[in-house]
Amino acid sequence: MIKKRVLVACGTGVATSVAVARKLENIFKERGFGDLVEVSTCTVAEMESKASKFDLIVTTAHNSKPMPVKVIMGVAFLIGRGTEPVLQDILDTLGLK
Amino acid sequence: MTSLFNPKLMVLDLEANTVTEVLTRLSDRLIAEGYVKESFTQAILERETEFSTGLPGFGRGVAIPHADPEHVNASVIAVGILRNPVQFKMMGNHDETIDVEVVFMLALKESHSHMSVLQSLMDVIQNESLLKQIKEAATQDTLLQLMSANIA
Repeated sequence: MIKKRVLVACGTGVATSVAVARKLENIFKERGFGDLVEVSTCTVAEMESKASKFDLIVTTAHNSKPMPVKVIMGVAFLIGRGTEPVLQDILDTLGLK
Repeated sequence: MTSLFNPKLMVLDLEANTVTEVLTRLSDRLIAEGYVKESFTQAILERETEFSTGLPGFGRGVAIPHADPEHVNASVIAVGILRNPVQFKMMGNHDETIDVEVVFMLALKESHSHMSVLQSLMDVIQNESLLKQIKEAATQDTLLQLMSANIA
């Protein structure tokens, strides 16, 4: 099976995107999707050129540019509250049940 | 690994009225201690304008300003406890503001070796009693110990 690809973007690509990406990887593993999803990180500046190679973008940054794939706000994973609806949106978008 | 904290970068009772003042004060200390290049201040101010870093920590607002690794000489985290809350825009949602009381300014050279640092920092933000202890730390040493004990 082809892995689903998630791109996590933040302003610098070194701080919050990495934290959110690690959190998502752990959640995917816990839910048994560890082998089905690949999570990458980048800066918001790189996001536009990379987007088409991914199934979904999760970002912690304010984004107003249109993207070829769905963009989901991932700040909830940093603050540890309100994650459940965001996670459900991510799983639904990736078609994982 | 060398320590990510320095008592001189534990700034208690930081008096500032604007985001720019908060960031400049902390950045000036980082420059003075040699952790970052002169260009760090401008970079972190621009970053904050474009990608705001206010987060609703448990019980009190937190901000985690940071900039590109190219402006950093050695990784370190400066902590600023604000005398009065300063309004930062919320991360990911510039229409909302957060009354920030605690600032963790991240000067990180690269991400992957600091993964556990970021993870534990996020845990701190979610820990109401620990955030209270950090906010109310009476001395730089107390604050340093709290950070060292909880950020690994």
